[in-house]
Amino acid sequence: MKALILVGGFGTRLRPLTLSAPKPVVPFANKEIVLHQIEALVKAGIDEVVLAVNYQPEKMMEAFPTSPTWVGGKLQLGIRISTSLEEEPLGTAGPLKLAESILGSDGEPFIVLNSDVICTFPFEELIAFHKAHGKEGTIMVTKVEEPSKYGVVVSDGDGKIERFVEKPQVYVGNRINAGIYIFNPAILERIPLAPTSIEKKIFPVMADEGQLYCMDLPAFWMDIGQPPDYLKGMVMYLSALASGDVSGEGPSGATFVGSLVEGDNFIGPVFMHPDAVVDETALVGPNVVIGPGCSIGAGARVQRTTLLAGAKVKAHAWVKSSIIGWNSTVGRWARLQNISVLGEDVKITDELYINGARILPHKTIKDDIPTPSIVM
Amino acid sequence: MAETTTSTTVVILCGGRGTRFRPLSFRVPKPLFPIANAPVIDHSLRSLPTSGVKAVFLVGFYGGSEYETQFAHYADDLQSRLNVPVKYLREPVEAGTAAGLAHFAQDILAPNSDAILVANSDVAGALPLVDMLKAHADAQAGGVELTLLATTVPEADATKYGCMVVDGVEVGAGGVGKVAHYAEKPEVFVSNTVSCGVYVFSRAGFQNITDAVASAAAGGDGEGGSSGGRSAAAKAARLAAAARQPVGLEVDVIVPMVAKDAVQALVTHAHWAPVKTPSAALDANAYYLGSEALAGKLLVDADVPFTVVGNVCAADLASATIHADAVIGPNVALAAGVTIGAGARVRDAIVLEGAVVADSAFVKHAIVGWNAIVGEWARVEGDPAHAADADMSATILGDGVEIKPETVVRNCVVLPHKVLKADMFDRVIL
Repeated sequence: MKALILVGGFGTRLRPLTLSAPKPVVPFANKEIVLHQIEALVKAGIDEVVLAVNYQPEKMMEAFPTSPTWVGGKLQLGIRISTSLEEEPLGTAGPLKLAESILGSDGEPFIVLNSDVICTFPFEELIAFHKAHGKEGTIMVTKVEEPSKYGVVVSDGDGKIERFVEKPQVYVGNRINAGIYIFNPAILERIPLAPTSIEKKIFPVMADEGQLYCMDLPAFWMDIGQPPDYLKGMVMYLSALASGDVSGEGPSGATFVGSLVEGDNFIGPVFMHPDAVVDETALVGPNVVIGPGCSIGAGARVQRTTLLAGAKVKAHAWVKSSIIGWNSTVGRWARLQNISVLGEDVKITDELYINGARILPHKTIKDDIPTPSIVM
Repeated sequence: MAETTTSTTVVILCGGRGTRFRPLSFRVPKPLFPIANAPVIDHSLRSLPTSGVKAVFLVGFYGGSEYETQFAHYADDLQSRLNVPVKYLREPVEAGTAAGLAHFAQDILAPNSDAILVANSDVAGALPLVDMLKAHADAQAGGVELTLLATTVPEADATKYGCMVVDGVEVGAGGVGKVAHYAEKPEVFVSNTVSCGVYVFSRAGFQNITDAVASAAAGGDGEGGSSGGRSAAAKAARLAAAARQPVGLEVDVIVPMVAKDAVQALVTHAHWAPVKTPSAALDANAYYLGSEALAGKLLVDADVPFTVVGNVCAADLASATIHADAVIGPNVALAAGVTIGAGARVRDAIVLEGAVVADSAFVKHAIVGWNAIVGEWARVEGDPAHAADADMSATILGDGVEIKPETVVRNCVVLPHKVLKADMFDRVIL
């Protein structure tokens, strides 16, 4: 069985992190975002994954060997990975047609997913549900609190989709498209090799023909394509880890990236790489991810934050709701909060107050940033 | 300090409500507020001559038993230190600086000194009082009845002060010269040579004050002055009138004296800054900690278990509890009985008696009030570079304020006994 991941372009919404790495290989809970997806696909028996990109695929492939899970350019999971480059952006449907030779090659249904969703990825259940109803497509749906912000999926009791309502002003339902699909190869006949929106052009027709079903996604779901949602997704993922809804471990062949840690100076959940160091007088958590090579100094306080590889939080610093980029440093007694995002190799000097700043790579900050702003 | 042959009576104008110095003045009158662990007035008095001072009067209208008790205690303390009579004189009404001086003219003139040195209580700086007394004595023969201290300020700030033109002293230069023109807080720029609020009157010069007050009381005809008002009834009427129409030193006394060519100025380049607000008190704190007067009284890093950076003084280290991992300074004054926790960082701050800065907390450009508590990982900070208002460039915690752990408070003034649980920015918190 095959799968296609819609990677797309520059990942601008996740800057400044995506100035240093393509979005799919930005770490989430110590593992490249796309690896969360690929590992789940491998567990469900997928043998080939296509990454649909419209920008610098070589950079994407270059980025993979930096991961411990990739050796010599090959994933140690026993499957094939390829990229499919769009000459012009083909939207959310066009890339399927472009990869027709792979997706349609074995006559089996194939899986499609957006690259920035995080959930429990219950592909086995999805495949079983799809095969049971026997129609052309199944999309996973998730319940949201404020459906009026999204496109709502309206279905009957069996999951057969009746219609889509874009940003409904009155309540019609609370299930939205989660960006995870399974299709029979027949769908490829519906799609032109041109920029096409699968949500707007393809799904409504399939629904009208009674060919499209939906399945509720259990547990959590988040589109982590921008920093506030990345952190929300992190909180959900760590809760799911703590409750056992997801496993931090990949399939066999994947590298160990950390575990939930406990102790007097941790307030769970805290997910920490074995090669990170936390001073015993620091207080960490809840909801912290600590990457490889990171350190947290004496008397520091860190909560609701991700530290990417090599990040350092020095003594008595206070960090909340922030992302500390690769090899960045937060100085002593500095305070970072309110969705501050440090790009790669940023230095916050001692004692500064940083409120909601997005700081581009390789900057050294020497003055307070009291109001949310971007430092070029 | 130096000697002088002039006998001097010192009058410190202590003012009244101190509204601009709230919330700190709710607890201590501004003149007695500790800067570098000594009352504001103490720093000015340090510049007095070592001989010739016959009496010190503190004149103010701080009412209420608490304030009066504080002044009485301070007067006693000062008297024992200076070994001259020191007395707090409470004005019956708020009637302007000249009226207050006139009201107590008998007391002030009683020591029969050659010179009456009058100074506002809130001047911070290196005051060349001995030079002023000498310059005044030298010029008396030439008809000078008042020598005032002047300094140069940036042009943009000049109109906030009494501005003057001084003969024979070039703008920006120092020296002594006759005051040719004086305008109190003019609407438009006159000069950036401004009055420092420090005056030396001869006995004859002091008569101008009583005359001005009497004249105001008599309806401004200028005749009632020295001859009128000897009876108790006339005095009461004068006071009542003065209460309606405040008589100020600058407009009602100095301006007419300049008109009769009886005023000279000593223009100084020494540090001078009025302590009007709590923010200004912090600046004065940094200045005094770095001044010669405190040399040898500062903490030395090698002598204490915690880390000292730059100029730091402690009123009573034995009564304080300071963790070895704390880092303090520069420009910090620690009062008695303070507690500074492990990994706490305190800089550019005044920490008042009984205050607590808990573990890993951060205090910068702030005054931590009496018995106030800054919780663990809290951040209490003034940021002059980003303050919306100059008066809010420091964070001021009133007495008994509690900042809960991990909370940030920036550029705020917090009135006494508030408990802050949420982050606060650029606000006065009632």
